[in-house]
Amino acid sequence: MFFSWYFKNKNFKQGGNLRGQIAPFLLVTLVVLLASAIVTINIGRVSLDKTAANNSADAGALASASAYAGGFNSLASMNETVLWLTYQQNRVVMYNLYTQADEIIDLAIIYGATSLALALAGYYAVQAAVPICPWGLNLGYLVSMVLYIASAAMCVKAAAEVQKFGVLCSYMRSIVDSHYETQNASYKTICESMQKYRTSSNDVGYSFNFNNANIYSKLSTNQADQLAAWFSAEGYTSGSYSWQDKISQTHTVNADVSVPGISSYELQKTEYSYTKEGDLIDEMINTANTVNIIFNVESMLLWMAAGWLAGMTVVSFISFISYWIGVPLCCCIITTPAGLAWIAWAELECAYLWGMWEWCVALSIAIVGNLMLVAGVGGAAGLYFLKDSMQKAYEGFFMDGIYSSSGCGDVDDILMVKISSVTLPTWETTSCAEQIHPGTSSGILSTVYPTVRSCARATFDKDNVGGAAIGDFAQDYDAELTSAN
Amino acid sequence: MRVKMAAIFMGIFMFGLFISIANVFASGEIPLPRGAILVKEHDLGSKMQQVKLNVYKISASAEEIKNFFFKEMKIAGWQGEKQKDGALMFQSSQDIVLVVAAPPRKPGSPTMFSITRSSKITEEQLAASKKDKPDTLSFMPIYPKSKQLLLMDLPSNGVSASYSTSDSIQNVMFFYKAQMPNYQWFLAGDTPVSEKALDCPSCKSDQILKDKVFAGKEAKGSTSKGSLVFRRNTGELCIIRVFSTLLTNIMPEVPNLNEGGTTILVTYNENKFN
Repeated sequence: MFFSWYFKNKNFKQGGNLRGQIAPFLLVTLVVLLASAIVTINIGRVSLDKTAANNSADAGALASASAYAGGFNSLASMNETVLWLTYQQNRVVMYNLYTQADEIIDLAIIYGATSLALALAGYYAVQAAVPICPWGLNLGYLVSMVLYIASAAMCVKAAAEVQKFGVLCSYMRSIVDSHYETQNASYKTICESMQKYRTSSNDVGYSFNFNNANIYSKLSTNQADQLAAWFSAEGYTSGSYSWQDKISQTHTVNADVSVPGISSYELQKTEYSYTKEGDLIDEMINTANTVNIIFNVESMLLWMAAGWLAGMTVVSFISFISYWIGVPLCCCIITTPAGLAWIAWAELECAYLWGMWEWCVALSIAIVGNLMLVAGVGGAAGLYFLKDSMQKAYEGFFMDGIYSSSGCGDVDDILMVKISSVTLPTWETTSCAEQIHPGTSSGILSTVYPTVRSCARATFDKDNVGGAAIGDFAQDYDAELTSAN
Repeated sequence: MRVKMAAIFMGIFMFGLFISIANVFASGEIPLPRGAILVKEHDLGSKMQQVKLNVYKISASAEEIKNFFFKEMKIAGWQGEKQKDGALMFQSSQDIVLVVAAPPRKPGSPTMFSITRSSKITEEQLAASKKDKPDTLSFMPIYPKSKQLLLMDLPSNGVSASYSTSDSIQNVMFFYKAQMPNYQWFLAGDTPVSEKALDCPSCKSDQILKDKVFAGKEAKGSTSKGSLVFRRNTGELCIIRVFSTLLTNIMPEVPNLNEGGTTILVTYNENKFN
């Protein structure tokens, strides 16, 4: 309309009053210029906000990934210096105890077998001994007595070795108890520290996200102070900050940082569980005590049998003397009443001693013979059990298998060696930033600013070493933006 | 001629001496495969033993490393064996060495292996702690009229102590339940006493043994165990395990033959995070 009017009247220069002709043109130009300026300002401001959002997202993602990578490097280090070192240390001690215990039990077996052999020899020496009357002195009892005494001494030695073995088992039990307690407590601490690393990486992400959102440039001095106070009070965790400008319009900056948690720890464990290993060692302690008592009882009974045989030797000696004194008497004074009385007394004595001999020999044979059954079956079985169990207990402490733990306290019944690897849903952190600013309704044209949003991702495993690097104690974790703006 | 002979003998003697000295020193050395790079060194020491752990990396397979150590350590005077889980264990008269090599994570990356060297706990060390009158412990009461069988430090900030007494297992458990709170411990776990009968088939079937040794009565035997777990607010832990063996009716006419014994095992852990 305006242009048609202009073209229609453009040739009236000479004739009429043409003052003010430029005014409409200027007016239009001014409007166009103003509109352009407004558009330019809007585009510039949106662009600035977009740049700020991009920077926020990138900085948040990279900072949180970098902090979390530090956490994983620390995890690899703690895995080595705490869990692995404790296992190595205890493994060496277990080997030390196992080899010593094995030598001790071998010695106990030698002493036990020697004792059994000596008792057996004594047993046959008693059985081979001829009756006392009327032939006299029988050295079989003496030999048997000496053998029984030697056998008893061997039993005492075997008992002492078994007691030493029991002490080693006790120490081994303490090692296992201590290992379980120490490793579990250490694992819990390590696991909780990783949760703290995750939280602090998240906080660092928020911090960098907000600090790069260019909020301060939009605030008054008072508002800047309020923002600083909010940062320290909220700890960057609320994810949203709003303020009002001079015309009471609300501006909002949203931040969202996501740091993935460790979903499970794959724990290298020993072959036997804590309960199985502990029960086996408890059984060894009880068996060692029992075998120790068996050897002590056996030694006492052997001493008793030796005592009876000592008595029998004395009886045999008396019988011998009686007989050899009686024989010349018989020859010389057989016809005298005194001689007949002596012979009668000797016969009576022999009859009495014969009965006593029967009793003593029977008891000696019964005790020693059957004792050998107990010692042979019980003692040998006990010693074999101890030797075999000690090897099982040592090998039960070998590295074998993986246990998956999803929570910090969830280690159930395992004896832990080290963290073999960790599993995460993703090895990336994500950071998003959003800027929401209201437009202005004053002026010729009302402006509306679009909400600008930007997201970025960063990995904390730049070299793609994966969760198994924890198990190798490799501190190779580093951060890198994988999806930048 | 005599001088020549003397010189030859002297030479042989010196050579022998050199070899002997070399062997003595070699027995303490741990050979390393060529190209092994020391990554980390850890020194751990308890009052009882010294432990040193070194971590190396090398561009060789785990199997090659194991074969190297198995061969070279023996040459250096160590006695060794391959363990079921792939670890190698060597020992000399004073030390124990554990070598663990893990396969590399991915092809091309170096193999890591660790060498742990520890001084041995000797039988004499263990025997030295045996005493008729137990040593006083600052953190817990000592069972009255007990004998000390063992009192030794544990590798990781703790103590292991063992005592024997002729008292019953119930009395011992009661004593610690009653006394430990006086030392600021609280009861965190209580495994009641469980008893297991000892079986001796030959004792039952053998008539002579029954008549003469067990005096016509049935010989009985049992083992028992129970445990108490105490904790302190500081995180310290004390596990008390009690074991008992009782044999009855063995020649009742002979005094002191019906023997039984109770063993107390204490495991104290400071629980200090390394």
